[in-house]
Amino acid sequence: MKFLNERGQAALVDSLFFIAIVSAICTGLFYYAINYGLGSESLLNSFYSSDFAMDSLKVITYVNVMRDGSAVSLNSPVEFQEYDYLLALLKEDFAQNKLIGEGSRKAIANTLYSVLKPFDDSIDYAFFITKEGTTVGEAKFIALIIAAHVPGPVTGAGDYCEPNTTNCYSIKRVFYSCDPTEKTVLEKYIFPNVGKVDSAMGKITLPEGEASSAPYVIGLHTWVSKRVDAMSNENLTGAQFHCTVIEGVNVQQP
Amino acid sequence: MKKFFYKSKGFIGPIGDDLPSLIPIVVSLVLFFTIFALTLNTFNSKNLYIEKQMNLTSVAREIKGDSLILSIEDFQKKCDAISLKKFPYNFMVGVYFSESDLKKSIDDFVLVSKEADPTIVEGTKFIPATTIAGDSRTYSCKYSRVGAIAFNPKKSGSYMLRYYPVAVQYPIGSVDDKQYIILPAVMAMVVWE
Repeated sequence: MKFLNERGQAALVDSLFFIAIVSAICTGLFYYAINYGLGSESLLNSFYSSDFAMDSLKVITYVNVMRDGSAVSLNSPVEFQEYDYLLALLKEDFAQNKLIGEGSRKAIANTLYSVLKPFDDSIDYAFFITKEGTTVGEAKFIALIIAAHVPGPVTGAGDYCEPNTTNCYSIKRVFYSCDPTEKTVLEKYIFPNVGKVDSAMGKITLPEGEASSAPYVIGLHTWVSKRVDAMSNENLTGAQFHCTVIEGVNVQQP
Repeated sequence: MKKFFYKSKGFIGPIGDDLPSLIPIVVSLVLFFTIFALTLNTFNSKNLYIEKQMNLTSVAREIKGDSLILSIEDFQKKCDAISLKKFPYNFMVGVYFSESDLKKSIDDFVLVSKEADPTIVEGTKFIPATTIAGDSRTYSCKYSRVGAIAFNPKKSGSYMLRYYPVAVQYPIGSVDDKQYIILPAVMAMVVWE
């Protein structure tokens, strides 16, 4: 009788060991199942978002723009107006005084808006042209256009109210033309606050004098629209960015 | 045997006596096979998802090329070249002007999926071949595997939809005085099983 009891107890302990081992294996399998493919998935998503940024930049350089800086569309009476490539317009403007003037910046803003219009309510972006230097601090912005969603005054229709507060405001799309003195303003003040940023860059040449031209970098940063203090009107028009609002961009408010 | 039973009090047979130890064994086996099936299922479905996304990315890259569509013939040629490669998934591509409302793109793809010729489908918002005259084709194409069911977002299970900015060189003016402008557009692509 004693023998039988001992045998039953041993079998019970064995089975408890068995369930402990199986539980450990199951936990491992479950962990594997949950995490499997996450790396590949995020890699594929980043392929898509970097493709998106690069495609947008290419399209910006391909599309035509009206000579007055407005975006070209099928509704534009093109038979009676001149149109050109955006880059041709920029080169022509730059050749005069080595600056990208307000007219050209407005043309850039109009082009950016027309290219990215289908995604306008979900992304913010920054377009830039820089001159790269051979030493640190020599690189500088020739043009920086930032498109951001910023809080505006209450309109009474379609305003956003923060949860559990009476803090309401409208959201409007604003294009800024900026002249920052520092090359790293975006990396310092915006990128750390907006999450994942997708970037695309390419080289262009701009005329620097008679029969001479130099390479410049053209680029586009895109990120999912998010309200951050760094992107508020006061900060963008403040000392770091030196931005002014580009008026007259054909923007339909969300 | 009978003698043994009576002598060993509490012994209720070889299985009955081990019943308390059998319960954890059975529970652990059930647990193991459940988790194993779940893992296998997740593994397969994630592999399918990744494969589908890779196909979508690769087909989209081939069709949009350098993000510039020179003409409807150029677009159709690229679509035809892709169709010859026998992809394991079905896909449809449509190009919209960037001013279009993309919220209806799924409805357009449902219409295209039902037609034999995807380039001549009435009621879609895809870019027409030309606004000049006579050509009713649109910038759209379709690849269906043999025996594939028509695209139905409610019944097709998981499908993937992606948008890519492209530029389209578009003819304007008149037949006698044809000009071209390059307009911003969006290429929509859907992949389904």
